[in-house]
Amino acid sequence: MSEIKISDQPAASLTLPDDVLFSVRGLKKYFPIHAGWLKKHVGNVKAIDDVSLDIRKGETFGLVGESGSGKSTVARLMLRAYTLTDGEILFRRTSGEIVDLSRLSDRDMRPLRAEMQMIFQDPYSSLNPRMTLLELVGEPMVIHGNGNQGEIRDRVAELLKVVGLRPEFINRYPHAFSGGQRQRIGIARALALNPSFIAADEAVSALDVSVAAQNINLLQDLQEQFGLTYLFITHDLGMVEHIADRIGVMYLGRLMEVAPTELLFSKPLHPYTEALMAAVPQPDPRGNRTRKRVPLKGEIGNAANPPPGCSFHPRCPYAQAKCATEVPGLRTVADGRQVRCHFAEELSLVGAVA
Amino acid sequence: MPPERLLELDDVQVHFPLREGLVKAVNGVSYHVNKGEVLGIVGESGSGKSITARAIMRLLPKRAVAAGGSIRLRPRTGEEFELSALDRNSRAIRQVRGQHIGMVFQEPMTALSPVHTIGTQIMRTVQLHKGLNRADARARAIDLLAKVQMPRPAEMVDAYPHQLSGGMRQRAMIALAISCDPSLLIADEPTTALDVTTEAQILDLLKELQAELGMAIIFITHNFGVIADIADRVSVMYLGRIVETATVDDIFYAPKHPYTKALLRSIPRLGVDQGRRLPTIPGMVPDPFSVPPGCAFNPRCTYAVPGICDVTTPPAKQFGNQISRCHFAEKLAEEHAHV
Amino acid sequence: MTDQALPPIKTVDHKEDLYTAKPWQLIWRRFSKHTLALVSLWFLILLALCAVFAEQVAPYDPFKVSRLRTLAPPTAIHFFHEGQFVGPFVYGLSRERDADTARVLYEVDTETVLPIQFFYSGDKYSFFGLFTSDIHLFGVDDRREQINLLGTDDLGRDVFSRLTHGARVTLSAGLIGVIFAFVLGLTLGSISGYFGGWIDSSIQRLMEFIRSIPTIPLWMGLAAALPIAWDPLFVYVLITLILALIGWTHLARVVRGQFFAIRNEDYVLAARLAGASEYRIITRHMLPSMTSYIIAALTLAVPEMILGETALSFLGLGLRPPIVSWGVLLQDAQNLRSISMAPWLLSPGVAVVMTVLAFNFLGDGLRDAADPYGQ
Repeated sequence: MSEIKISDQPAASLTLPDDVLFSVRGLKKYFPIHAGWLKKHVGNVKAIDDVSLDIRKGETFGLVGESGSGKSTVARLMLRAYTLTDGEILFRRTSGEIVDLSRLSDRDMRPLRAEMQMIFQDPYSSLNPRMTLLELVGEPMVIHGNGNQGEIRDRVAELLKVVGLRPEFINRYPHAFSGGQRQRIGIARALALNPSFIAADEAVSALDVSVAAQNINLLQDLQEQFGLTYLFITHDLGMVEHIADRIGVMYLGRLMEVAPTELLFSKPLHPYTEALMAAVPQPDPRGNRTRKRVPLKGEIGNAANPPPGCSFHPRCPYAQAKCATEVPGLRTVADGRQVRCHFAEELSLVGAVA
Repeated sequence: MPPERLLELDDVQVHFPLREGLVKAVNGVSYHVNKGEVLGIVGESGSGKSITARAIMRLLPKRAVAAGGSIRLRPRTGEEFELSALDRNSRAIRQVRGQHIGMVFQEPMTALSPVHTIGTQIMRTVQLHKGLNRADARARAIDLLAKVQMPRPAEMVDAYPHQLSGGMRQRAMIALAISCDPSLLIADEPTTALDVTTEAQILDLLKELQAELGMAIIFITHNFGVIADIADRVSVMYLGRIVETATVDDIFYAPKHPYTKALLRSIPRLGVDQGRRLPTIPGMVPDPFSVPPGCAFNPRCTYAVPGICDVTTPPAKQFGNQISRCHFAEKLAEEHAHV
Repeated sequence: MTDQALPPIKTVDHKEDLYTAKPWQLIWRRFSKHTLALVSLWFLILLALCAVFAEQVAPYDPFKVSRLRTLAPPTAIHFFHEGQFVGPFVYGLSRERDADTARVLYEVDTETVLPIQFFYSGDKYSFFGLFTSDIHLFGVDDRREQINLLGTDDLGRDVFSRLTHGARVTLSAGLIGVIFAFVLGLTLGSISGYFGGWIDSSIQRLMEFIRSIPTIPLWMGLAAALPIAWDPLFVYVLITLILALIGWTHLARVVRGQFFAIRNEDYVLAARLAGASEYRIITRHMLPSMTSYIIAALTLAVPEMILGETALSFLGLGLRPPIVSWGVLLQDAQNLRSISMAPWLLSPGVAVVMTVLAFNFLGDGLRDAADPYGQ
């Protein structure tokens, strides 16, 4: 595949600030567009363009955005489910060693997979219907050679208990379970190898309200119990405010803003963050009536042909001439917040929370 | 029916006789819609909210049995239809579907024909029901697309559904649904598949259209935020029954059914620090083959009293305009009075 | 955990059985509700047994010519003789010649009662060269009389015996053809689905090309290339190969489609993220999910092969006598005279229709049951 271009500078000694577990720098993922009979390469879909973020040990980092923003792709790139086009992905192993995942081959990646896992959105497609819970949850252990059959069986039973399922269900197949329970099976599988990092990709979005709340509580309990670090991907702002310590807002493959949760919701710095918050209808009829809401014009742009300048400018109520020509960089501003907007300091935006 | 009434459902029953047993998907649902109001129907999956709507339109799946109850509609024109008595393919129900009730679905692609332009589809409906000629019908289609705030309506009238984004398709679907000035619009999870910014646009559009055309809307969703935003009154469904009906403010600020109350507490809200843990409803929605006897919610309810709740089906208790089907609705009412 | 997602569940035993049922048990459960498919399955099992044990099932040697019994009509089986129960028996047949037309006429001779004997010793045969025997499933113990369930042909050979031997050739040609096609289809389909890109495109184009060739002329061309002098057995193998060369494209399509569909399932990604090797992903996750679909597709491919063999042989381009296949047998029924005078010569045609239908019903049932988890 021709689009892979991993920088081949010599691996300098890699360093990370002490509290950082995962650090992504200048991450890019382009999908080539081929057209015509001869499949000529005519351009790129810039699914992820220049994303940099740090995830600290033990925190929950929320990644929000609308469909097509690339939030899931970021998680999949970090776990090396896809090959990246460019960038660095630094990860601190449990041993303390720091590795750049972007340089590892699939084979070299394998031993590291024990330390980072993923929970999927779709509780149906993410579990192989032809495997019992023992085989499903035990598979990572079988792959990594952790223990003999009896040990694996005991560990699976224990994991099922941890996620609130009965260990007697060990011989059942996934079709015996409801969506919420299946999601717990997925969580048990993710925990099987004692990872330090879990990416939860819309992990509760497909569930009913009452079941989603149960699973969110479970995720928080597990975080406390096992000292997990989460990357929590969602489009649900209420959920992310509840669970995340820091939040990154994505739009068309770019990070627009990164801030601690409270600051982001009380004082957003990017117009897109403001618009996103204003758009979410709250379960509060009186509040909705008094809240002024200016709906965003238009729709999310096309990643194959993104607008020039700031990708948000065609929809931005504060856009000026500069926004259409100059691409703003992700800048660090006061309070250690980061924002990708030319006028972040000048604008005075309204958050969802006073 | 009282003069302001548009639609009235009384004890509607829809059953699915399956090999594993009889599923009472809709088990005695009664609600009404007044002219020009928005009734929100909210419930988790399997509560029967969509099936009830389909019963109104007589668009039930083939396996379903309309086992009882009456559905009456009195549109603007003044005539009265007993929808529950109509056959799913009768001339009368087709007239009702096209002219008096419009419907919008979660996934517009399933309702729009992929091989015709959206213009053609709207034109066909208005030609059939309004007797317009081609040129007038086309003008009307462009008009309607403009009304649903489709950009460049004169161009988009010739677009095929697959050329549109999700939000645009939903707009086209709405244009089709309102093309004959219906008295009632049934919107079944119309914004669930959309992004929040698009969702906000569609909600605003529906509110504007409702005010402009004076139609009533039945808005079905599982999202309490959306229901708070658009509904005037709300019915909460659980396992084929309506457990509570009230004005939107009463539902959100003074719920009188434990299910409504518990559900509202389990939604994370912006700016409200509920502590680290979300209050949850214990257990799961039971499977439809083994609905608990008595009050269907009793195994998960913190108010449940053995011997009462798991034996008798609670009656509908009235508190002004609020109806709750709970043996202990008074107790919940008192709690609110103290707060 | 304070909020256990599970209330105490009162599990009924049969439900627990369902929850722990292996995938193939669920497939069987669903398949067994498909009555037509089930009946077809039994029919095909019976047919296969007949084909394998053709020597035993057939009462006579398929090549034995009896000059005094040409074009004899099917013998009826009776149980009562003159109002008395005597068990299964047949009447004798007397042969006469019409004085004016010189046509051979047969008349049932109700005087001769020939009880049907089971495990009767008749013609000698060698069973696949393993052993020789003369035991047949049934027969009549008389030197001059015969039991011809489906009549005889113009050389006096027993059509039923020829049909059972023909079943062996035709069914095995179908099965071997499908196996060849399966190997080709699986290999090329998985290469196509696994690598994608230009490899996929070229295999797709090749398949489209093969599918666009009209089959009869292609068969004729290929079959015409086979020298007459070749050993009939060798011709038989080549014919199955020819059938496979045309039939693999459909299977390749199924395999490729399944590969693409399953590759995109989240559980495959989950296995990869757990560190599973490609080998493990393919053998533990992809192939088990695909097998039931592939088996269904294979079943549906068999009738295509059988029809191909029959058509080729019927046209005289495929198998040739002395090999007996259903297509070869149908050649005997090619002229109007034999159809009008001896309609039982069409029985191989009926056998082909029934077998093809049975395979189609079975394949449909399997395809519906292949994914026991949907709905």
